[in-house]
Amino acid sequence: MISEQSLDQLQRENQQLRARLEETEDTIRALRAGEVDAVLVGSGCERVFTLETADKPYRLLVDEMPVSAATLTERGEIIHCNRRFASLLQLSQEEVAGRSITSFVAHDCRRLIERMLATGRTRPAECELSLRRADGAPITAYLSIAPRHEGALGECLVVTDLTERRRYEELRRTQEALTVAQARLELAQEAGAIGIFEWNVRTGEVWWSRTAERLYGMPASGFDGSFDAWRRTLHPDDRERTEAEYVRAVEEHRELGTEFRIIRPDGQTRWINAKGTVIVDSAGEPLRLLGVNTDITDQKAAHAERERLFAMERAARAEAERAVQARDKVLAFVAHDLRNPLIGIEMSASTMSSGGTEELRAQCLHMIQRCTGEMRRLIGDLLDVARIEYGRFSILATPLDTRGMLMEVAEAFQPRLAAKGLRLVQEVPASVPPVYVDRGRVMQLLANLLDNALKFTPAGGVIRLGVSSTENFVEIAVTDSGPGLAAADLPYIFERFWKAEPASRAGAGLGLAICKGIVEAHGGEIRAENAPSGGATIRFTLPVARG
Amino acid sequence: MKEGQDEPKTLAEIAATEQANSDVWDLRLYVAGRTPKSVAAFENLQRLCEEHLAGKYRIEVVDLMVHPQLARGDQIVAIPTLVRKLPEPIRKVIGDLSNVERTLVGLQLRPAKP
Repeated sequence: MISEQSLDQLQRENQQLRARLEETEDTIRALRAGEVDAVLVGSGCERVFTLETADKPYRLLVDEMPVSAATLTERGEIIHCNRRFASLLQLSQEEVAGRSITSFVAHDCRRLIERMLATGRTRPAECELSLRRADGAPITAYLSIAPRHEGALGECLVVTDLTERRRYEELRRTQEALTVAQARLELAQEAGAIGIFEWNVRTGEVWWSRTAERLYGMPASGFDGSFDAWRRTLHPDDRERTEAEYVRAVEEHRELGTEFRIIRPDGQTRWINAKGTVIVDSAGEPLRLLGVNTDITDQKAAHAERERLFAMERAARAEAERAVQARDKVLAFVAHDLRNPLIGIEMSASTMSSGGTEELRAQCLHMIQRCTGEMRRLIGDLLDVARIEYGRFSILATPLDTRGMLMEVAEAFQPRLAAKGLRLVQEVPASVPPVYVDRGRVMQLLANLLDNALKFTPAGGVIRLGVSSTENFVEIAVTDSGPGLAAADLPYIFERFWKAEPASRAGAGLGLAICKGIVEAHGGEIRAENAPSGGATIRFTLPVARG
Repeated sequence: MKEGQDEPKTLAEIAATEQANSDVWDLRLYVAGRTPKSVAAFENLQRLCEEHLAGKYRIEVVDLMVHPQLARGDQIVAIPTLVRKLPEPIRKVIGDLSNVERTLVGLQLRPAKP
């Protein structure tokens, strides 16, 4: 039996229980739907446990990730931004929250961001625009918005800082260019064997490139970087001058340009060319001397060799020219010398053919004989010279008494000497050894020399015939009392076709060349000099005859 | 919504105002600081009240981060929770009030669907 009162109470209790049930169901539903982000825990529900704590790892991830991100309301207000986003704008996260994204966009990009926000409500939108930092500096950024999805707090905005990326890309390009330039420079240094140096004039320190060390023959890092270490490499003869040139370049702010020798550690001497320029500070005071060294040893050697060859070539050419001139001259002489006796022969023959006395005919005949003799001698000389020239000049030597030989020649010349009023003085020691010679050739030699002396000695003069001897050679000197020889002519007088000027022209100038050929064929030497008395002396040696 | 600005009233005071404004909707929103759901619930509630109870509602926000002991009175378990103190009977709606339809039904401003 239930009383009305208790029924009433039961209904009330039932109602309360239903309400409690609904409430519990609603709580579970809300929890499941994610409409709740905090619960009260503990027996008396005295502690609030927010779900914020639960999603801390995600929050940290979002905050610390190296991407600038923010959530936006539909109107573009920033609900939350991560640390990177705030620091991009140079603000704190609290300062950014609640502000409109539009307020961070440069004025000329406002329409762009508004259009993007509108699009971003329904579908992903992206664009590149300029943001403004707190200090007013522009940031080129790439923005992308993902539309809000079911249950999300707002739209998701991701910002990529292109300024940084562009700066990085530029830096990378610069570094690449530098690497290439460095490689090129090194290649050029290697190829050109160019060493680079930099002398800090304030500290006295010297920097060298690797190629510079190689140039100075040092191992890598073998240079200790001091001015004195460089100074010590210099050749002692070039050291003071070179150092002074370096110092002067710095003091007078001049370009350096010099050449000097160094001595490498292995003792090798090398030539170095140095070029440099002085670097000054803003006050115009010299800071550094920057320059290059190149090894010019080979160039120097090549230059010297070229000079030597040029000199040789010049000398040879002059020689050849003189020889040609001399030959032209001698041809004229020979033609003249041959024509003279020829005229004599022609005239004698003509006289004889037109009759005449017996005495006249005899005179003519004598004349013809004398002329033909002269011509034969001249032609013989020419042939001798040709033989000497082609190395076909041979001698047949026998022992010969020196004194007897000289007496014989002197006697043969006596009539001609007497005719000119000349005196022949013989200075022959009694002990002179016999010589081992070709008799005919030596007589020809002596005749030639006496003939010359006779020509150059004025009337009343003296010709001396001096003899001395060593163990192996007998030296004979023929001295005239003529004008002597010009110093400049001395080296040439034994060359064929040479003839001293302005002596009276007689003979084709072959005599002395033949003399030289005869002496040398005997293994002797011949030379010309001027005697203290003023005349010319011709000295020659002949080998001593062995027991 | 600034905690400390609207000092939560004692039950006696609430009872007093109940008598005075019987036709005023007295709503109490329990929040936990500025958690996103708390913020959302407050915004949703304001919009809803302006639309359906313009001029005759009062919202009291109780921040349980500051005064957790106040949860005991209404037996709050999950946050945010909206409590209709007046008109009676007391009704509770759990969650951020993002579903307008459910909220209206929960506050009995609209009859439940059959």
